[in-house]
Amino acid sequence: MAAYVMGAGIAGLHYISMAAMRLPAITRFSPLLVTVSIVLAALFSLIALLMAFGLREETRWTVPRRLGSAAVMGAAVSAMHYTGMAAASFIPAASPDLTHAVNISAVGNNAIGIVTLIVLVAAMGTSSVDRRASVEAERVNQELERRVVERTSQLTLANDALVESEERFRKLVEALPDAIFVVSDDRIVFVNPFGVKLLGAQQPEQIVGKDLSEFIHPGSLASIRRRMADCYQTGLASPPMEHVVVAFDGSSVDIESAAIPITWKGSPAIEAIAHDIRERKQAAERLREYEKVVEGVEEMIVVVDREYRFVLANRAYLKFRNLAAEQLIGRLIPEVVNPGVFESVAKAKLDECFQGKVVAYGLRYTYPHLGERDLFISYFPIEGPKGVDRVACILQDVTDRKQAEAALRRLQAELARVTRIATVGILTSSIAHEINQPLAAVVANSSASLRWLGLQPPNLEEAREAVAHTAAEANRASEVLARIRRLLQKAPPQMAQLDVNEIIREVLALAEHEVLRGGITVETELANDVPAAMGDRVQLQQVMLNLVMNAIEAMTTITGRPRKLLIKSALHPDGVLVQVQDSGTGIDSELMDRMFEPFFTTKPLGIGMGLSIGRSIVEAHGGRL
Amino acid sequence: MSEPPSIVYVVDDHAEVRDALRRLIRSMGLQVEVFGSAREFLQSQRRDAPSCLVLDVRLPGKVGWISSVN
Repeated sequence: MAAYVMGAGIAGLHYISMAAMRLPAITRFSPLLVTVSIVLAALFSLIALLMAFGLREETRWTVPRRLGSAAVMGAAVSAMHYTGMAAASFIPAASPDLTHAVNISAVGNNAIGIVTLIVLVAAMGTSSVDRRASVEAERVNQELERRVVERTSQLTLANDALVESEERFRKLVEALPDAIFVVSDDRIVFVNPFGVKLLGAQQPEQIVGKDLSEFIHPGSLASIRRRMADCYQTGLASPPMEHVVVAFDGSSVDIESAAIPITWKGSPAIEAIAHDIRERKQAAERLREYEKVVEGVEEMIVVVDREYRFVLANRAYLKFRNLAAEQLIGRLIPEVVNPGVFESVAKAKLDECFQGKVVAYGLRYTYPHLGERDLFISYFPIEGPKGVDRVACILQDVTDRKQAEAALRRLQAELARVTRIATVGILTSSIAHEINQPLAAVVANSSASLRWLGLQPPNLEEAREAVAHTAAEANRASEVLARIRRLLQKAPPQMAQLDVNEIIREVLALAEHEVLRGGITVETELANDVPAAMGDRVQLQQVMLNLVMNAIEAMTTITGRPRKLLIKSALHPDGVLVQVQDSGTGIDSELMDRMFEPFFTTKPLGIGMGLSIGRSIVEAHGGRL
Repeated sequence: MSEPPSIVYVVDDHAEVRDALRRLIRSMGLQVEVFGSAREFLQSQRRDAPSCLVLDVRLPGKVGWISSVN
């Protein structure tokens, strides 16, 4: 470009000078030679410029090369000039004025020399400027190089960090207790070790390259496809969802997975992060089962913390109290329960439970909407990380049960009385005899006293003795009746300290006549060291009388051996042992099981209640029969 | 009174009844002897005199009426 400009400059100078000469002749130019002159100017300029510019790189031969360059430039001007002159042909005009004409050849050499010198100086000057520019460029270049090195080292550091980060990420992916799958075009292209484990495979190769549908449960496939489509469309990660995958052994595995759209080797892909939620599901299922039980039972369950705040209450309790959970949970017991009852009863029991003890007690409590209720309350300590921090309270409304029990007790007492009447009925002849004896004595004694008084003079001594005996015998008859009446009276049970031996003796007195009539010998071995027992006299007499009457009846058919009734009392580790033994035929082993059944009897006139009632009485006294 | 006084024998196992009968018969001016059982009565030395026996026929042990046959 510079060569063209310079060439054009030389040519321009030449032809403008020609025009300025105002020759009195018509000048014609040969187009070919004009073109050649311009080309030559440009060509020589190019060579000169190349030589001058080449100096920037070199340090040797600068002066000769500059001179050479200037000479070539001068040659360019000369070549142009002579060629340009050759191109022009002059045709003389009419009367040409040659006074103004310049002798070209006279000026020629001088002018050309000057121009050439100027061009030479210019070229040298240019070269010097180029040299300075070249030094500046070198400096810039070095600065640039320094910056590049600096930047490169920065980039290297960044690259190292990136490699390190990638390494860290790879380790993370491998060590993560979650399964990671990358799916591209419906195929699995990557799986981490935990993913291999999740599917029950040994090697990632068993999974990578396979179609996604091979590992997804048919029920989950549509949902997973839909989610992948969403991910691709939105470019956003999907929130965790629950699905079922199929492991290599064919078993279903519940998983929860999130999906992230990524690019895998230049293609869009989905990265799925999944974990096994079977344990969690099972735990949740177990929790639901517990909840169902707690919510389903009739027993009222509440849990309180150490501040006596309600932490939990089941449906039964809320229903019983006619409260919503929000009205109870988080509130203090004394805010919901009568504070007096809490302070005087419940608090101490709860504190005992917080010490780790199971506590159970009965409580009669008055509710505003239910009235007076009998409660059976149990407290169970619940261990926390720092000892007992909760107490589970189980409350049962036993009002109805208590009433039923009371009714049953009344019924039982009534039945026992009826049974006693039946027993006494069997004893009728004995009773008649026992009353008749003292009455006979009364009659005889009173008759005798009348006779002694009727004598002249009356024998007061004999009369007094007879009257005294009359009174004594009347009392005896009265005692017998009182004993019978006590046995038949309709009175609530009265618990008192009793001497078991005394009960045995009284019963034997009642049955004395039956014993005598049956030709039975009674033997007693009553221990003196038996402790007093808590019980109801009449009820225990009834049991004893029943056993004695059974023994007597069992021996009515015995012949050929003594009819013997042996009654023993003795100290026993559990209390007092009473044995009633007869010499009858014994109890048939088949009847052993049935003899305590109500209405079961082997006697023609029996009602089958004796042993049944007897056992329930003894058990009510905490004993065994 | 040349005749030996007549005597009443009482056999009864019940002491109070036995004593009451003894008192009653004595108040009638008769002699009386009491026994607790038929065996005691049979083994006793009885006087030869007009006598009467009051016997409880439902005595335990040796039955009353059997001893009366004796």
